[in-house]
Amino acid sequence: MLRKYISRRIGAAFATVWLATIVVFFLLSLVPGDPVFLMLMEAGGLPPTPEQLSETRARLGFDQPTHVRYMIWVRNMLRGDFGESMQTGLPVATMLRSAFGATIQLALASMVVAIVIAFPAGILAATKQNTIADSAARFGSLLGLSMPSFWLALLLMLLFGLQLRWLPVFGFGTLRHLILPALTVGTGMAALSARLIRSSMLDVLKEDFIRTARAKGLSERVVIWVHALKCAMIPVITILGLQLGFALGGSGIVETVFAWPGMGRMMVTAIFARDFVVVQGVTFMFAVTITTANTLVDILYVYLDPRIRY
Amino acid sequence: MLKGVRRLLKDKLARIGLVVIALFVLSALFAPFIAPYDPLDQNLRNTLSSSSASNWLGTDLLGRDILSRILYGTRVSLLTGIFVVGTVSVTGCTLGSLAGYYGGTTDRVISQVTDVVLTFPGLILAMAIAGMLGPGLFNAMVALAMTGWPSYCRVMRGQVLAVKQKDYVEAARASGASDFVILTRHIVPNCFSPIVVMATLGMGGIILAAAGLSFLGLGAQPPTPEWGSMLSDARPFLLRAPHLAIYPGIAIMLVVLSFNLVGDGLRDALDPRRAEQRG
Repeated sequence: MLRKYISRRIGAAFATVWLATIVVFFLLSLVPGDPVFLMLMEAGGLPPTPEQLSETRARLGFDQPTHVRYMIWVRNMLRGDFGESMQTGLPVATMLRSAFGATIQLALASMVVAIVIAFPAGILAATKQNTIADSAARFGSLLGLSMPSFWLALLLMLLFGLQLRWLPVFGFGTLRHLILPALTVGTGMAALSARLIRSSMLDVLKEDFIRTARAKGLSERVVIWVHALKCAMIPVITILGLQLGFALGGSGIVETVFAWPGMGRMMVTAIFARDFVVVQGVTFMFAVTITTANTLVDILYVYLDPRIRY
Repeated sequence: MLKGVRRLLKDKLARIGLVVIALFVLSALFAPFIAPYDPLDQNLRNTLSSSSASNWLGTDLLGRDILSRILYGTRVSLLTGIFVVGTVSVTGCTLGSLAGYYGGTTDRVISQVTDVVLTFPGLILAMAIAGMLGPGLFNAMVALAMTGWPSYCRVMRGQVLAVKQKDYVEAARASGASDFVILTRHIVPNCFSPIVVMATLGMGGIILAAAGLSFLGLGAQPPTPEWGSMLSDARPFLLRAPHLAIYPGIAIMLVVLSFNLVGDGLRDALDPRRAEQRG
């Protein structure tokens, strides 16, 4: 039964990603104007000659109708070939590989920041329900959700980079470069997660086994941190999926501000260069990453929660 | 519904949110009367200055008054929010009701498309669409509208599925009402509570997203006074003129926070069971 559910879930994930490639491909082909002309115009600054146009069009396959181009794109993609960047001539697959690593690195670091803030805050708010601490946590998380990431980024750069000179303002490579971007993304993530942790914890604290644990004479700390938390963790698994989505969704802005060489910045650069081939490759990669994460979360859920049966 | 409004007004944080939103709406409506200067007026002899008696929040690189630009920027942000939230909630609710009411193939097709659009995290698809349509405020709004409807569709579908089972819907059907009448008169009006909450929180989300697109250069173009692009202009002068990077951000945060406070309050007010839990 379980195996059947898992294989059905994986099949659905493949179908979704496949449909996503169609959506992106045809959306991008609906763009007004001739994409090859726009790309050459952006690259050279001058209107291209008719020879340049037809030559590039043929080289990139743009002389074919959209559905034929889509078939060619899928065929190449299955072999790991995402085409070449109009702008730099580099294979998109190579660009994606290094950008994916940078984005995941930032996402994981942000998750660490988020977990360190959100767990204590969410649990505190739940155990001290309706006190000042609870209101402060509720207001704080709404504040975190309302803060534009690019503004927080500028403020952190101003304070830690330019005023105090503790950390580099942008760039990539060392742990010190990772701190400010991770704080920026992690703060928003923490706000999102603290609310979910609080409500999940509140639900668990009402359960019978918590009363039993207390009646057994266990200390409040053991009841909350061992018994309640273990059970509250199950819905919290969803948070990990949400957090990854949050990190990837905001990556365009945060990576651009901090000059972080990830998929978000790759996409923004490609958009401004009208580099269709790269935009197509990156959006596909985003879709694959999110779908994979969601599928894993769903499967993990079944393993962790004995109450769910398929 | 009326009870809900009364409960909402009891929530102190939501009340504060409502007042702040009202202030922003007023400043959008009356910007020409409140703003001390024209938001586009340049004064090259007074650039990048910090707060002073003549320019309360200082001036930017071209000597334009920051306060006036922020006040006018309210118009762009609120109008974008209203346009996009209006479009996505109507589209999402229509598709969601159809999927929930008719089920079968209609439901499968609509739900599949919803799932596909939700495969793209946050702003990513909107960025691609806005960028490929060409940078500009209207294109950014179109991009946000094209990518924002699925969550409304999902919630509405769930609501309709639940309400469809109710006795009064059966009664309407037995009395010979057409599908259209059942759907528009008897089902949809009873599905609105969560949609109202979503749309309120959505105003904040869309204002944030639109400012983000403008910050990247994909939304409002210069010289339009817009909060996100004002922050983007501030980047080269972070050390010399930090005030440029501070005030527009406060404006964005205040407006988004207010919508979130009201939305949060509404959720509790419209769902008394939840409110009890929160107290």
